[in-house]
Amino acid sequence: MINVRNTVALFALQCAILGFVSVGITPAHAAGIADAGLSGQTSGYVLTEFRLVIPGAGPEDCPDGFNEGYSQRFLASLPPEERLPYEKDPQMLQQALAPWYYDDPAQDPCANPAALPDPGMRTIERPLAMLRMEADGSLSEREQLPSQCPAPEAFAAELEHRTIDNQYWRVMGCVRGYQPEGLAAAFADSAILDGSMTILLSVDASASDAGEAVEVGIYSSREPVTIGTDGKPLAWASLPVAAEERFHNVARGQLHDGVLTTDRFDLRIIQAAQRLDSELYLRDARLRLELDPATGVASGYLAGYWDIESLAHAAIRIQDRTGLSSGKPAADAHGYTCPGKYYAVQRLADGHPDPATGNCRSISVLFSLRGVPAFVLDAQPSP
Amino acid sequence: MPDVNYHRILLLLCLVLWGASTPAAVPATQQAQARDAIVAMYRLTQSQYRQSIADIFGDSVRIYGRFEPDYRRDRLLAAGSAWASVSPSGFEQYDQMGRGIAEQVLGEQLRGQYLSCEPNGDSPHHDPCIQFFLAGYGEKLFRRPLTEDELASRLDVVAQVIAVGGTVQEGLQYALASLLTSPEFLFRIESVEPDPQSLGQSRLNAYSKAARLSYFLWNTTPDAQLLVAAQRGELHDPEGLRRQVARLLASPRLETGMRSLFADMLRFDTFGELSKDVELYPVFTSTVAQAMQEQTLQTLIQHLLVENADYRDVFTRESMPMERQLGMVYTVPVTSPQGWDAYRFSEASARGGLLSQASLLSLHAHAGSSSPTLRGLFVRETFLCQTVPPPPADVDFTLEEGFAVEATARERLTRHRSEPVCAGCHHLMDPIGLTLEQFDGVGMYRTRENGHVIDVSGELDGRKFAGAKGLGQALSEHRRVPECLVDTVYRYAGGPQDASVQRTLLESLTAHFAASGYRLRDLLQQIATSEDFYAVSTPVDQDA
Repeated sequence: MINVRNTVALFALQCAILGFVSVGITPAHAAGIADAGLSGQTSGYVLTEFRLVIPGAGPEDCPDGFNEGYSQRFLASLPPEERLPYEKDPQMLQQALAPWYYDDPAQDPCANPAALPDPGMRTIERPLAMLRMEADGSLSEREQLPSQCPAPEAFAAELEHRTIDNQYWRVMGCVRGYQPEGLAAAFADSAILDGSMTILLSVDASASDAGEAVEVGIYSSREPVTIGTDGKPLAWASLPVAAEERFHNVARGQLHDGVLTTDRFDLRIIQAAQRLDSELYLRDARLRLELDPATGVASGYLAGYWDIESLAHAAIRIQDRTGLSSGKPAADAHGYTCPGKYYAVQRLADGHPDPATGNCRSISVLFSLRGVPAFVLDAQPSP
Repeated sequence: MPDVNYHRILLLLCLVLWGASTPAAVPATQQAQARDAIVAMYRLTQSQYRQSIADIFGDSVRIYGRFEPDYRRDRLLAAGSAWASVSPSGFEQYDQMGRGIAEQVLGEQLRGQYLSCEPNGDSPHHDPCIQFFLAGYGEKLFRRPLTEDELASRLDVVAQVIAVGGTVQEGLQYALASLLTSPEFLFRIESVEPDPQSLGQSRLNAYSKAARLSYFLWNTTPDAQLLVAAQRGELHDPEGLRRQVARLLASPRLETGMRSLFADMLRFDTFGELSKDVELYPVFTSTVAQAMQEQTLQTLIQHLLVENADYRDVFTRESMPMERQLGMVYTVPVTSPQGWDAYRFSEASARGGLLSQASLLSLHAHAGSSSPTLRGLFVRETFLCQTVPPPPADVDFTLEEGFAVEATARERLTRHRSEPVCAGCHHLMDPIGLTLEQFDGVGMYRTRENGHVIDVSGELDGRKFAGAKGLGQALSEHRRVPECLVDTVYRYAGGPQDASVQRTLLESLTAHFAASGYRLRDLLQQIATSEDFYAVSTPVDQDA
């Protein structure tokens, strides 16, 4: 690992690769260019956006309507004449469904979803034309039925050429909070902005001129991004990678015409937000980044297979450092139940089948991301 | 303080203070220093007030209130302080600050730090504890011992507060507040006394010398040693003066004083009113603005005090202190997680020298763009001590709208200079500022403006060059640059204003400065030990 991963004139590098003569027009929102004295072949970025791709449900995607959360289910269970007081007084409704946070995890429906029967969850079952990542790193959008969990041998054989679907959208597609105007979109980058989650990228293109692979690093950082006066993360921050090596992910890839695509790699990054303290574990992931020499911005997609246990920890149980779950209020706010989601994920999982059971242990997912130039530093000892 | 007595005490205090501060109240048998003629009064600048309070009472005492704006004259707030007065509303603020300080000092929480004895409320005029407190802090605040009358009037305050039902601590609070709102504290008052060496001539009295020296080098009130030296008359003896100057120059507090000098010279007080377009310059946060100033001050301290290097080289210096927030402005990596690292720009970098620092580039720019004109003006005024006249009253600003269609500042300003009414002054400023155009309105590096490659060629007094480094080199070799620093430091120090004394002294100081290799420490020492620096031209009426 080198000391400072961005020792580069980012633009000089990109321009050289892309055949641009010089630095492009600095747009009004641009954050300057690298000091002319910097040289090297490694570019660094800090992500300013990292979002699930949730295209929104079409009119025929959820024929039975959206899923219902705990509050809605409770109200639906009451005779119409008894609903009114709860509908008028949200606090009364909250009290009726308490506790939201359980001291005893055994009692918590979100801490132990597998211990409860499947209450059912409406998912998108019809053919969908949505973004998927092909094996060559390109994006496709052809209409397809839900992926099925393949046989273990078939999955292993196909992996190198397999299109990574976005089955997780099928799971969450009929959830109110995951629609484009819902809570998930509204809070999409809040974990980055509030400093809970900092993700760094480094692109070492030193071998690219010789036609060899580009090395890409994806790291978590324990340091928050710095927010500018426009409310967005600032470029050119110096950010150290997290000390834990499990959050140092390296992939090899190719850079052509300003588009970087990687081979398959496993990814672990810190996934934190509010009370959540977890990690995102994607298996056999691929990254596609477009590097814009005019603005210095890198944007693209990360596709992969989300390990189900990691998903359950971060997106169903929503566990904090103490092991307590805040899954129930989150599920209610979005409009689903924890066991419902748990079983839906199991049903639609399409990756890494267990040789013993044949059940898939991961589910395909697609994230969009955007990064601005940054200096990616080696891990630093705690002060 | 108890509400029941508040108005009575306030009324009483006003009367007592009026009496204490009015010359008519001074009896004929006043002590020597009170008889001395006042020749100058300098209102403490905001930073001097703060530093003085911090040095007298410690950092734990907070100052609550709003200062009257300092006044800049001859490029400096320090020079303007000789012309500044106190308005009625300004006095209200000083009063509020004085009361606030007194309340903290004599409040239950901190009182023990300042009042080591137990005051007796029975008879303040005969209580050694009260007298010790007031005389001690009075001397620190007035920068000389209190006269008997000055002390007595404060003892009166204590007695009368007690007489109307207040406690002795409340009495002391009012007495201390009266010291803090007295002109003798708010102004550095310089007085002269008959010069025993030259019949009919006058000289600054020792305490005035001590204060001038202390505010010059430390930007604060004289310390105990300096007051003792003044009391012993050592400051009138060249050797005694040299000893004290050497002590002050060797002290770490010199850095505080020089920071104040540099901040004043570079107009950092105007950072407070500096605003930038939040969308265009998102990096310009309040933290970054603070760090920018700190970087420049650290650079100057390092170069001029720590390294005792040639002043002229600060314009070509390649390294500067850097910290994480500033790294985002300079677009360079900063490995140290906290604090400052020295960062050396490479030869290939467009940056180098003081003028490429973001503090100066931000300060002399518009809210939404750079400004070659403002940057050129700043260089002329600050580093060459030249005066560029303001725009004429009948200037046609609508011309600007026509120029706005041009893509680059160079093109806009070239058209500008084609107007005869603008050309006269703009040709003095623009060719300098245009060499800094690779730095935008907050000092971030760029190579293009509106898609056009930025041309950074320029000139200074006939010398042609390109870019910030070229400008730095030209300034470092410009004859006026060291002369200007001498002039600035001299004015900052508050030396004699008499033109003939000034001219001779400045010539001599400039020659010494050159001979010393342009070392600031030598210049400070030269000024502070120069007899002429303390010269006064006002003769004392011996019969007064």
